[in-house]
Amino acid sequence: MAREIHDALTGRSGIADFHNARFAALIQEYVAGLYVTGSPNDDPQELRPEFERLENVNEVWVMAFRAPKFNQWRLMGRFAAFDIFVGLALYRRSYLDGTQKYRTIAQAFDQLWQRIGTAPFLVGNVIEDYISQPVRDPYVPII
Amino acid sequence: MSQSYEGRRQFAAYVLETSFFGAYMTAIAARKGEQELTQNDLAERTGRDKTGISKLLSGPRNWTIKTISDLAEALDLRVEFKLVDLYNPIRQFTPTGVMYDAPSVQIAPLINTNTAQVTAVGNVGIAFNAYNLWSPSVNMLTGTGMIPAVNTANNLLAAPIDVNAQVRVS
Repeated sequence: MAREIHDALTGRSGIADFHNARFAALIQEYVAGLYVTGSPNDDPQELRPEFERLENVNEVWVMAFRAPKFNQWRLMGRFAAFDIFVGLALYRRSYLDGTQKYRTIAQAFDQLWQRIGTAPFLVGNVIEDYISQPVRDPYVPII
Repeated sequence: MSQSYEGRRQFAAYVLETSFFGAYMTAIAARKGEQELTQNDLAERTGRDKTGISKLLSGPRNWTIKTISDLAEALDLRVEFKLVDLYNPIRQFTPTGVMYDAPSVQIAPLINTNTAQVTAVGNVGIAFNAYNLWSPSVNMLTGTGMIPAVNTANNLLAAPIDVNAQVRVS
C-alpha cells in the first residue's frame, strides 16, 4: 500500500480534511462485507453509488467518498479479482472537476496499473460480478 | 478526547445504519424471490405510501425503532437485539439478561489502524439478527448477508478485519 494513501485512509496524513467518520465508515462497510452500492454504468442520474465504473475507459472504478458534499474524494482503482479492489490514486473531487479532466485522468489509469506489474483485473457486467457482499446497483430497482 | 469520541460515535452510527439497511435489503431480496413481493405490498403492510417506501429503500438512514419494527412485521421477521461486550465478546447483554455466546466469537477492531476513530464505541458493540420466521433453522439475515443459522457465532461486528486485506493499494 502506498504510504500516502494508507495514511490518508487511516487519518495519519496531513490531509486533515480527508479523514472523517463517514469515510471510515464506508471503508469499514466494504471491508467488513456490509451493504454497499455500486454501478458498472457510471452514474448518469446521480444516484450516488459508492463504487462506480467510469464510462469509456477500460475497467476503471472509483470508490466515491461523497459526503460531505463540499469535501468529496475519489479513490480510483480496479478490481484485481472478485472482492479485491485495488485503489491506486486518491483525488479530491474538486480536482477532477469537469468531465474532460476526469476522463483524461481515468484514461491515464492504465499506466498507473502497469506500475504494479502485469496484474490481471476483473472484467464483469453487473456489480455482483465484482462484489460478493450485499450489494445493490441503484439503477436496478430492488422491488 | 471529546472530539475523538465524537468521531467514534458518528462512525459507529453510520455503520449501524448501513447494517440495518443491508440486512433489510437482503431480506427484501429474499422475499421478492419467495413471494414476488412488490413495493405496493410493502407500502400496504407498513402503512406507508409508495413514495415513503421508495425513500425508505433509497439508502441507509437514521431509522426509528418504529420503522425497523414495521419493516420486520411486513417481511415476517423478528428482530433480535443484543449488546456485545467488547472487553469480553462472548458476553452479551440481551433484553432477557446476560448471555454467553460460543467462545469462537471474536470482536476484532473494526479497522486495524490503531486510531481511536475506527474502533467501536465504548466497551459495548451492537449486533442484531433478523431471523427468518418462515424457516428459522435455515437462514439468519444479518448486516453481512444470509448465513446459515447453525453459524450463530457470526454477527455483524464479528468479522476479523484488516483494512489491508481488501482495500489494497500498491
